[in-house]
Amino acid sequence: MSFIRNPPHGLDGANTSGVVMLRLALVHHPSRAVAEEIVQDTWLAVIQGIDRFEGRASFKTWLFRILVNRAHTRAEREARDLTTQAISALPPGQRQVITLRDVEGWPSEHVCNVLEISETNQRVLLHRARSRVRAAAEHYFEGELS
Amino acid sequence: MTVTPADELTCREVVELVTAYLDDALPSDERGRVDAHLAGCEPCMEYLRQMRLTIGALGRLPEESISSDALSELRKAFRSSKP
Repeated sequence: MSFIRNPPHGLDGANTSGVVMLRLALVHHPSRAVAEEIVQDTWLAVIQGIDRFEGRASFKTWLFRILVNRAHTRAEREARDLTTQAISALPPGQRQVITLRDVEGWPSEHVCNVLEISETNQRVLLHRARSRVRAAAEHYFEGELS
Repeated sequence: MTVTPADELTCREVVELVTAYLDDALPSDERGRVDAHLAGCEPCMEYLRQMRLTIGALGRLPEESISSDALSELRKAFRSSKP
């Protein structure tokens, strides 16, 4: 394959790329161990999918895009799992309020009517519930751009 | 309006008010005090940012991620609320 004999621009020094890739993975995933795994998986995906590299972008751009997609997808999935777990561990009142308000997107007055609770009580329950969910997935939010 | 030290909120107070703040349920003077605190407090800004991200993540949860227990509780509550 011509790519092997004639490496595209940007594929100089796999070591430098490795450090940069790890740093890039860490931007999207909070765990170093997982970030290292993502870098490995990315190389594997690159080797398996090299036929799909069309040379329109530089090889480095293509490589980094695969890496970022993988890191982001994995972080999203893990944050979602943690969030779901955190919700199911909540006391029933908090769980009902956060599910209706934030998962289903109901306005607070509907939630108060359905659950027959005061506005203040609803907000206290929501506040506690959100605090716990945030704490459970905190590491996933630290590096994320809002 | 000048903010005197007595008006200033502590970080703990801001954290307690953040849900009401996001619901836009604070009286305007109190809202102003929260804003004044946030403007000068990086950790509280970060806390607010993470709260918004949490709410955003909750809104993107797929429906099947809600446990069936929670759903049946909600259905029960919903039914009993109907006249």
